[in-house]
Amino acid sequence: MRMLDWKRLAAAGLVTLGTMTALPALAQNKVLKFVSWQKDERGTGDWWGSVIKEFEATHPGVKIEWTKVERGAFADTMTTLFAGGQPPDIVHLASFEFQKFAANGWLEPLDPYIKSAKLDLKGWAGQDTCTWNKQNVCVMMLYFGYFMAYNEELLKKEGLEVPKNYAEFLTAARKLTKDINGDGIVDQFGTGHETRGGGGQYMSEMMNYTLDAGARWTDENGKVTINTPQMIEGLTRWKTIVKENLTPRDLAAGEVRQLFADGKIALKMDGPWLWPIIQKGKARDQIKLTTVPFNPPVGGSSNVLGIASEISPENKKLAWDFIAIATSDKFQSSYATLGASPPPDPRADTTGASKETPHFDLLVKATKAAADAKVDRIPKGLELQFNEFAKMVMEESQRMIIQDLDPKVVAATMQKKAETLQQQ
Amino acid sequence: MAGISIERVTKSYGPLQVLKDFSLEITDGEFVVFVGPSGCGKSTMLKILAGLEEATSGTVRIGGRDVTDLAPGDRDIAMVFQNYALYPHLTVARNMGFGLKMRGMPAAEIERRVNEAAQILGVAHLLDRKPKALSGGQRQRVALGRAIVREPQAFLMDEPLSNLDAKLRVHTRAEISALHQRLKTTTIYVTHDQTEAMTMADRIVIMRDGEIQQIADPDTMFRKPANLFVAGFIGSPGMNFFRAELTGARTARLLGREIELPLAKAPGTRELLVGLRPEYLSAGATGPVTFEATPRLVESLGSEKYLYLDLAEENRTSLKDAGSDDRRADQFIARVMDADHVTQGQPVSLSFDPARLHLFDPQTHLALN
Amino acid sequence: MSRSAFLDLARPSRRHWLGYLLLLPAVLLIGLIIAYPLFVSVDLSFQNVGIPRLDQPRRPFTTMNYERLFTSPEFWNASWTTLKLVVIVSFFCFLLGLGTALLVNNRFKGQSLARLLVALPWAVPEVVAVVVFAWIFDSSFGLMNWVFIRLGLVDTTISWFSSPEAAFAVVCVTMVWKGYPFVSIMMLAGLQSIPEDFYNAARVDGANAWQRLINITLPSLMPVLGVTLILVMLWVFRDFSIIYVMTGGGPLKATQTLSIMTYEQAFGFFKMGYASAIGVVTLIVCVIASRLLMGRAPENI
Repeated sequence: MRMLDWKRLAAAGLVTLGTMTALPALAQNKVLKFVSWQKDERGTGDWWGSVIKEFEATHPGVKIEWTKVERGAFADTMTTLFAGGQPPDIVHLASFEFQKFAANGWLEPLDPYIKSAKLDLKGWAGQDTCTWNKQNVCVMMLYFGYFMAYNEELLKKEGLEVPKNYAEFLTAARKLTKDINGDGIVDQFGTGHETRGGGGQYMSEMMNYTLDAGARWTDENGKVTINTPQMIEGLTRWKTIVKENLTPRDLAAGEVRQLFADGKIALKMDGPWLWPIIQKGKARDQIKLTTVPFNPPVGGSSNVLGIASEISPENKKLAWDFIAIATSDKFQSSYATLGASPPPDPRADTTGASKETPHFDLLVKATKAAADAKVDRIPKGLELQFNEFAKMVMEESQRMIIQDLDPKVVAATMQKKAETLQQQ
Repeated sequence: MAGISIERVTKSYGPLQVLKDFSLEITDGEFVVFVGPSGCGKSTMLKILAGLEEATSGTVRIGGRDVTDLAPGDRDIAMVFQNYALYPHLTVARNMGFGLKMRGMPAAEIERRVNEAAQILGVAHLLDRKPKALSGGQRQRVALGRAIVREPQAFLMDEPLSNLDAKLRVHTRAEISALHQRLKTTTIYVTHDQTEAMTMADRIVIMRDGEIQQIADPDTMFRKPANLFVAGFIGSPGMNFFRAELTGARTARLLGREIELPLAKAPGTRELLVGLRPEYLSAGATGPVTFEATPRLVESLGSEKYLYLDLAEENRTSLKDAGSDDRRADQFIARVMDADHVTQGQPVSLSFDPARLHLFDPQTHLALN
Repeated sequence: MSRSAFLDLARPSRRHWLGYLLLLPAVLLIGLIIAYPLFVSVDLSFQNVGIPRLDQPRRPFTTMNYERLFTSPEFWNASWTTLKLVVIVSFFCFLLGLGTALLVNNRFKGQSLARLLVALPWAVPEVVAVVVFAWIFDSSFGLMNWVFIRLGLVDTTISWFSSPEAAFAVVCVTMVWKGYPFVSIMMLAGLQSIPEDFYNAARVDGANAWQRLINITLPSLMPVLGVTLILVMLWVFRDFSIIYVMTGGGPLKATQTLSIMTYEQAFGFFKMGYASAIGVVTLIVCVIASRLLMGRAPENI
């Protein structure tokens, strides 16, 4: 008899415990899920934090659950979340990834919200990229242009001026690549590019040279334009730079940037994110910034913000409020200051940013130059197949370098493969 | 000529001395048994003879050749192990021929020798089996066969019968002896069982704590043990030991009787240790000295009986480290035939001949007669 | 004391229920985590689907994924690369593993330290190992190039990750380094279970060290060897993180194994149906291979 009583008591205890833990969850605040790779990033991470703080202050009872996922694994993680029916409420994506999600109908069309909030997106840098099926499915958060950073001291040592075009650049790079300590191994490089890793970044590095040669991957209508004299010239330039080892080989972007910041590389073209890295490097005081010796500079959309389509209407409204705060002129201005990057909002007040970041005007100039030339990493007509396309371009370029192929042949191969991809 | 000569071999592991100054001459064709309790150094000595252990000092000669520093494979000896050490992945035939194959003997010759050995040992029908399909006794015979085919100068056997059951042990013991008769190869045999030593040896070397206690043929060792340990070790059940105080120049009081001790000259002590084998106590008043005693326990083996008899205080002795079985100090054993009338608890008369007594110095434990 | 006679597991007739009860959680877990997703994968492989949604109606049955698979040169390239990798890495893991086990099995001063060092690569996380080796083989600043130039083997630095053959070699080296301790530890355990008397008998029989190795050590190790071989081969076959972090499958698909290809198709290009087909083919190959190699291994385990 006693044993049976004991068992009953234990069972009752468990049930009570279970209910007790469940109740608080029910009575608790609403939680909006926000997943981003920029959490903990210097500058932009702080800015997101300020947006969240403002949101929670103006929406009592609602909390934002902010999770960080690495850039490398971001696409996979988001895909899994969406496929599993557990999407985050506030959707943050890179500008070359969101198309797949839009194609699956996972992004809520934002036009009704934009209209009712009277958000003026005219002149909003890069917002065109956010159109899908003639609707706005996201808001552009950053559109950037490349600038060139150079190590003044290294150039002075060789008696070189800052290059203003490709020819000067090539000469300078050649002169600056040498073996400093005489052990037979080259330890100083003229320039630096990532040559190992994903196709997307590889393509961006190539575009420094192909854009200046006047080449584009596709034209306005989405037709593939790789087999053109301009692209062949661009491929030739890329091949020269890499094959002559004017850049360290087989390094990832982060490592190249670090080498530059430490004074082992003389000339580097990159986006606004290079600045904080330079600040922490050994060669900080020798590095100066200027415009790229190419026209147009590499540029493109960086990341977008949207709303998941399969959440409750209540959550959608709250998510829009979050976006509204992030896109408000006030916060677009603070973005300039905190993120040291030109905000897409044309009305943002960037005077504060110019004071904080000395090269801010340069950034704005670069962004404008790229935007006017309608430069983007994502070729029109190949958005859905971007990953495969980028990988193909990277492989064929690598093949060109390793097997020493004629760029004419390579361009033709790329053209054919790209067209096949489009038809898939 | 394959005599073995062991000259002043010692073995130490650091400060621990396992073998102390071992010397022995073995003639060609002799069957010598090293016997003793665990840890006495007999296996170590065998391994030194085989070359599996290095002697700390001393020399070993086999057939006149100094082999002290030779590898085991070069000494022309064959070894039989307690656990048989048969290679499980080879057939019986291959197992037996392994050593010959390693020496590069032609296949035909190997086969001839293997078949011959198999015939001798009665394992010819097992040649294609693997060891795991054999019984213990069969495995041991295969191990013997592996040693025989080598036709070595000497056999070294390390407790080969220890893993067999009692009946099989008796049977295989006889087989090994017969084998020795037939092949006449010098054999060194290590065991802890004194029965095996007694039945098989030409000469026994009895060891204790790394020292040789006595070297003699079985009969001599039985009748004339050199010290207390040998006396207690040889024979089963072991010798009875008594303490006796001298009452005269050569007399002492034992089991309630005045006995004339079989001494040649007077001993230098007041007290003696006296040994008497259980076999030399008979039931009834048949011998020169008769006495009465009460058996506390009677064990009957059918043809004979073991009587566990009470011992008077004056004759009790506590010998912790005698070679005999751990026995209670207040008892002694008699082994009697034709004693159907003896029952537990009932006094019985027994007799013995004083000439059968063994006398030992109480300090040195050496035999006095 | 009322104890339900029905549930009394101490009764002889009910004894085996305990076994089932204890197994139940594990079986459920395996079912949920392994069996069910496996089933879904096979199902997906017969659909033309990009990103699958489990709550939406199933797409129509089609074998186009398999047709595409068997006619694609990329698949055959990946299969060939996988095969090469498995054979080469397993072979060297064995040589190195058995060698170190034999060495470390002898008694010598510092034996325990030696054993620890041998086992160390196994304890290091794969990604950490890859980063270390990536830097050792770095084209500009790597240790390997410095050593090669110092020794005069080459005049100019080798771009390890730009050359298909060199990159493959680097991946092999990293995997062998990572994998041999496992073989070493298994062999060591096997070696220690070989009775000393076997070697004594062989010594007395006149076998030298090499003969003892061939005739006693190796045959005695056969059971352990067999099992270890299968485990190593399966590990190389499916290993993903080493190759992915080191070369990502390149350059020019020189190090693209079936597992890399599966990942790329599934999460790079979002073609889950196609990727599932590759996965299913991989599974079948593994199952057949291990069944063939296993033979009588269950007895030995």
